[in-house]
Amino acid sequence: MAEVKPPTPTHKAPSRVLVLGVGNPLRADDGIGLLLVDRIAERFGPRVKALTLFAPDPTLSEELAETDFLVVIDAYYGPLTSAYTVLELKPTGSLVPEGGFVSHIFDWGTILTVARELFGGCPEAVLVGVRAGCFDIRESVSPSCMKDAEEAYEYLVGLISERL
Amino acid sequence: MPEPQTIKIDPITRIEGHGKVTIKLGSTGEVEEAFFSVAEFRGFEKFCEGRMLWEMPTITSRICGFCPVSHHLASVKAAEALLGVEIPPAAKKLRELLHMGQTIQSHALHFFFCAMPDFLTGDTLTSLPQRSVFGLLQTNRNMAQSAIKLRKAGQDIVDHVGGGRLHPVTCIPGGMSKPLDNFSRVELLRGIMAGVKIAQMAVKLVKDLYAKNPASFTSFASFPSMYMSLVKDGKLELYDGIIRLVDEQGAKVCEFEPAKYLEFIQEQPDSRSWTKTPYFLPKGSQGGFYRVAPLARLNVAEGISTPLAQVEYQEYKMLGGGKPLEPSLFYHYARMIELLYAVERAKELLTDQDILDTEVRVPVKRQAGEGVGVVEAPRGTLFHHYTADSDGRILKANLVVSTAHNKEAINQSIKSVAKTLVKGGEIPEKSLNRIEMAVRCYDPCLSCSSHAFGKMPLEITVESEEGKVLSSYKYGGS
Repeated sequence: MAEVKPPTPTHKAPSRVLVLGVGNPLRADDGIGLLLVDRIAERFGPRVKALTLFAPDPTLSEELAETDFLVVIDAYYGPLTSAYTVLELKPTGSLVPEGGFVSHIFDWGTILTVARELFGGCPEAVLVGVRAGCFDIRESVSPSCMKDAEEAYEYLVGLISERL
Repeated sequence: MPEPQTIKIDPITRIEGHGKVTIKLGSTGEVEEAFFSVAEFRGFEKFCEGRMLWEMPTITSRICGFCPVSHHLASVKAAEALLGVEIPPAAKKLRELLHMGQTIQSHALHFFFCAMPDFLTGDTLTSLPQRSVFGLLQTNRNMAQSAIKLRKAGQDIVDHVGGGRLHPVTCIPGGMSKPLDNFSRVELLRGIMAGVKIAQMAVKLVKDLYAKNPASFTSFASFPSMYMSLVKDGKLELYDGIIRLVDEQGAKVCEFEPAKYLEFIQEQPDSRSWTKTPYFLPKGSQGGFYRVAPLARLNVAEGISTPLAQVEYQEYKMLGGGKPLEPSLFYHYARMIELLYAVERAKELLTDQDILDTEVRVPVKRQAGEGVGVVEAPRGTLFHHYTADSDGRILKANLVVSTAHNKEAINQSIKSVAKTLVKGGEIPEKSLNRIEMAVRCYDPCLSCSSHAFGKMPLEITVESEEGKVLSSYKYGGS
């Protein structure tokens, strides 16, 4: 009888996953990130940390430093042939945003840099941008954006499941 | 002889919103007049008419991204005053905790991110990127780290207790929509315990700045005024209590229940700004101006209820020999003592087991009426005043917001600083930021006082009396 090797342990500690929904729920499709993050929170429960916010905020940098995998969900305004796009987020290496010194505007690359430089950690990070076309002042997301969000949701579930 | 000129700083940077400063020079080039304007219109009071009373706390929290909790609280208090409702003790504690969370995050944000760069990197305009929060991140990482941690501790309270990191939703007429669970309490307490040390460090920081150059504080935008704030048993109070006004000597002018504010506070329109100008009615619009917010609150209060802040308060009061401190730069010092108070008070509330009580709401019934709600927002006393019909529909809404109270004080501060800097029509570039510093002392929030979602470049235009542009400056921005 051939010796049976014990199975190679495949278990590893689950990643600390942070999902951020970004947008303004009063500006139509801009709120799609918030809707999706609510669904993600419901789907995964306490296994992921889910937060909503209006814009990138450096206050999150400590939290980011303690995260393994960051998923930012936002509305994507611009030419897009698919329902959503996935962009890798990396620290810029500079503590000054590329857009200048304006303190109302932060970008994820700068905030990741702040996390790394001030708090000693930087997660692997992606931004999932859902195709959005309507930013009127209203609380409901457009039907076309909702449809695109369904595709994005399926992708997000797969993406996050891989890390848990 | 130079022509009369007008200097405009438009917009002002590192404040919340879009405002501009106009300095009018006389024919001899000396400062004749200075005023601060809010450049845009919002109109919340008008479009709230016809909305339902119970919607107001959520609607009005959208006025501002800096102090949404203050509007949320003042609004729900006004609604409850109108309905004649007394909320459960645990709900009251949760609301005060929520308010402390916002005060912590707002004061930390303003001091470290908006004001501190002026002190750390100088007050000239020669290196704007350095003289901003990014300069702080680069030049003093420990301080930046502490600022972020402290702000997060406050934001976490707003998130857990208010039901959202930015705009709270949990305060409803009759109480709170949800109690606090023990897991959240422990988590929040962890952040606040660390926050006490950081807040103490912040007070020390501003004390060191003062000790290093006392004259820079005492000579900056100093003028007499009355002061107004809430007090409770004579002590500093941000959530409840009665309104007290004191004069420039610190003597009590009057005390009144918030519901009677119209007997004491009147607002008048200002053709130069979308913000109205409140004044103390018995003294009239010319002599009735007063200041609010941290400097005023510590000038009005006789003490602070938390131990560490009380020690700092006593030391601070000695600087004025027991009299009100007038120089506007002391706003920063007072703000940090308040920050320490807010952290200590949050700690007290989080260690009070009663705050976990699940009875946080009582039923309410619709009725016609009138109600006033008041809190001390980070930027000063905030009034919400509603009249509703028997269906609960808003017939009239009047909001007297913090920044509006301080408008005349900001004008005086600008004038005071400009007088020392602008001579003979010459405008040294470095003076422009000194003038902005005078505005920043008050941490004005223009979104509240009217409208703002501003780009943040600095633009200064010098015009002749006839409106001809003599020179202009523009810096940075998007």
